[in-house]
Amino acid sequence: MSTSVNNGLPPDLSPRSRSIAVVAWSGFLAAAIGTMVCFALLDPDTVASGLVPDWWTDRLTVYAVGFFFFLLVGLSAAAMAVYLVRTEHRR
Amino acid sequence: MTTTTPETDSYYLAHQKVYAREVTGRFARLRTAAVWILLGLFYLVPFLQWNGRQAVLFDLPARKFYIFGLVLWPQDFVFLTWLLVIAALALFFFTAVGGRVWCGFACPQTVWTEAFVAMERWTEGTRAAQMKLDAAPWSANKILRKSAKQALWIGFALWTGFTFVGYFTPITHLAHELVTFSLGSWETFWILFYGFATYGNAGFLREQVCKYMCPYARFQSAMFDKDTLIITYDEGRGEPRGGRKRGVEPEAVGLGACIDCTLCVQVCPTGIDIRQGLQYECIACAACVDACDSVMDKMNYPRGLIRYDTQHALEHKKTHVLRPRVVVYGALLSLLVVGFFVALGLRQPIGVDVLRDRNALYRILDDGQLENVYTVKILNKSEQTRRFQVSVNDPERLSIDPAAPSFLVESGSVYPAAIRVRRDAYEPLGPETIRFTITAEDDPRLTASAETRLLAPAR
Repeated sequence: MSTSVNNGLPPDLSPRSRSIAVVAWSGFLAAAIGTMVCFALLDPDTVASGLVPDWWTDRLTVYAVGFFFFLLVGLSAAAMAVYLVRTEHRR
Repeated sequence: MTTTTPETDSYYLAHQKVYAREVTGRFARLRTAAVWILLGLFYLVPFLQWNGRQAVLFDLPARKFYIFGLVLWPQDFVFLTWLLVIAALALFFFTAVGGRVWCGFACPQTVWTEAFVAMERWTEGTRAAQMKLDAAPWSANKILRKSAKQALWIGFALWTGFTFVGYFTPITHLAHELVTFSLGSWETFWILFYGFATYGNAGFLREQVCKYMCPYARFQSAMFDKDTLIITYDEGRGEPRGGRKRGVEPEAVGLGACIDCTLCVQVCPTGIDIRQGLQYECIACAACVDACDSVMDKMNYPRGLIRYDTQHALEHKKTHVLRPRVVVYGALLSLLVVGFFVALGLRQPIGVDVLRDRNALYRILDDGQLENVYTVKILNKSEQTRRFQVSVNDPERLSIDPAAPSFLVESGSVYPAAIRVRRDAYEPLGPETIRFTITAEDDPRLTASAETRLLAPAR
């Protein structure tokens, strides 16, 4: 069904864009929750020993890197779930 | 969504103008009010001051959350979780009673989309004008209107990103950095990130977020029953639908009250036809209610062909407001809210955390005593500066250095106190658990303690 002409709405997303949107959104939510819980329990400053990578400088950087780590995990999980559902053999 | 409209129907043609104008009516006014209040709060709250600091600040670098008089520390994370559980339960409760009122009036997706749509109307005109503009070839007028819209959208999105970051970094400081072009790299990144997310969600994706990305839209029906308020089309009154001249009574032409003007479809932000019954795409924004009411007024028919109502009322049965689902949700919600405030009131405003010295497990002194070194972190979450005494359990056997230590800890800060604990090296053999206790000198009821290991040779 097309909604583009008679009510001025933009056309619906294609199935591919829809999958991307779903993966991006669920990955983001998972990353937000993961980052929140992780850094509520761990203070990067006290966890840091003498042996930390170069990017381990101030708390904000560690939070950001942590967020992207969780985002990567979340996106991978969501992408795999979408991939498995979409390529399922349907009888 | 193809709709066939008889071309001879003068009433439908006349009402293209109503459609072309934005929806007006009770619910449209309510939503506009909600947009102003909610967005107003979002953009203004970071500028509120409290005791010389930002009233609402989630200070991530300092790991402290300020909410007016309340200061939350990472140790208070349970309160944040608790608050999220309350929010979820409140959503269930209001969904069971009022249907998707959240979606139609309070969801950030709806609120920001409304703001973006308003900006689109200012620059590109009514929906009909927009459609005409989109279909027209590029001209100076089109370029001007399109770029004005984009400028407004991008500016608003960046302002939103800036405000959002202003909840995490003192906003006056951030504004100062912004005007002097000295924003930090992460601050710049997050402003752009949230600006982009705002633009993408409210300007580009809009109702597609509700249709394809929102989990609540999919499971909200689990909270519904036949007594939940939903947007309904009164099929019994409306059908059979059909066009007719103004002022013609439905009975006279053997039709229902629906004149099939399709205004309800045209105003729908998610593009559904409510006359086909409740669909999960419906965000209960009531735009169709306003549209239909205006048509009913013009036809001199009673309002409410499309209205907020319950399934039971539609079936001419009694609507029950109090029912097991509402009572259970309501009771749980009240319990959690009361518990939250009680726990918040009983919260100890001090805390202690003990870290072992990482460099040495233990040390045997010349006099045969065993020594462990600790950093005792004293947290003073209270609003005044206080002096704290540190003690250890079993003082007969365990001695501490400095003896009878006491430390001045400023309000809202952590004091790392270096404490050495000594005891006989082999009595008892092996490690043991010891307990540090801190006590406020001015108020002995304020006390907190933490356990740690005292390491010692096993033989």
